[in-house]
Amino acid sequence: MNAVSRSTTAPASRGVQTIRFFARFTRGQRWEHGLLILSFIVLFLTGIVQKYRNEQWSQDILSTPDRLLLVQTIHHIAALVLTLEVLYHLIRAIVLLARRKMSPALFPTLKDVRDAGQMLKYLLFLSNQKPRFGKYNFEQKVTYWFLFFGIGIMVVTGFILWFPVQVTSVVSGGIVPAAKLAHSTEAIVAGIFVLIWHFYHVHLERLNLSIFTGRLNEDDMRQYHSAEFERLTGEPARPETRDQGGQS
Amino acid sequence: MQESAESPIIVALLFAVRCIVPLLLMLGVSYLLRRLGLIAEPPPPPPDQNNGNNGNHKPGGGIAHGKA
Repeated sequence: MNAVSRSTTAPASRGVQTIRFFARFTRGQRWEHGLLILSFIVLFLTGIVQKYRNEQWSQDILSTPDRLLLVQTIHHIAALVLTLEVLYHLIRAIVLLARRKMSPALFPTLKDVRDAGQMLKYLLFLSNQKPRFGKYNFEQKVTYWFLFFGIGIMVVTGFILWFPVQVTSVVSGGIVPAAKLAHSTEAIVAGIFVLIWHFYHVHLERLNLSIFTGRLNEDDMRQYHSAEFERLTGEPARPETRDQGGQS
Repeated sequence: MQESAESPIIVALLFAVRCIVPLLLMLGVSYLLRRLGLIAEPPPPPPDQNNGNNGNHKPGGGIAHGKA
């Protein structure tokens, strides 16, 4: 796969300008993210109506048994889509691990802990230097692993709530109310996490659409993934400091 | 569902723990996978680093250029 591609434009006044793009996500990863967005939104909206059933707005929506059945059916269909996506993601990861082809980029290391400390210093004006990130920074790894575990919890507890009779024929009945608490609370936590943490980093801090386009331009690579830029190109990224006006 | 009457501080602490515990777990898993050689290390930077050739070279590490 090409890691670097070029786009050439020719403004009349300034000659040829070359813009380099760096491959970041495969087509499969972008499809997975699209399915995740779609299923997550549907599950959240149809789930929150059921969680707050004592509220007036929820009772207005679920005013008849038919409506409740419809909302539950939509919730279950979206849950199946998410479950299939999770299974695909896990099986693919296991195959890559077995073939020794799994990229280490998403796995947290002690460097991420140091990066988080350095970023905290930078944000508190105790340092002028931002940490230098690889393909994924510590914020992106937090996002991935938070949702990885959160979705895992919700898939498991969701199936317990969907098939309580079958599950309690094997394990104690106390698992059902526990699963209900975990399922609905984790959903709220995940929703808050996506709205505050993920949306801030991909929309407010900077508009990062690389998960949809699959690539990142050279300026963003130099600024936000300088270590990865240098690894791929061998060129210095000129990391940004506060003295250079580098508040992103 | 009956909501528990926990203080916001406890809820905030639980949220922080919920964020940190998976990362600590994955730090350990990541260490083990590296020790067992199951995840590949990224290739080293190309040898012609910092030679100022304005990008008009073919970068190393198995990277190729392509027209967008």
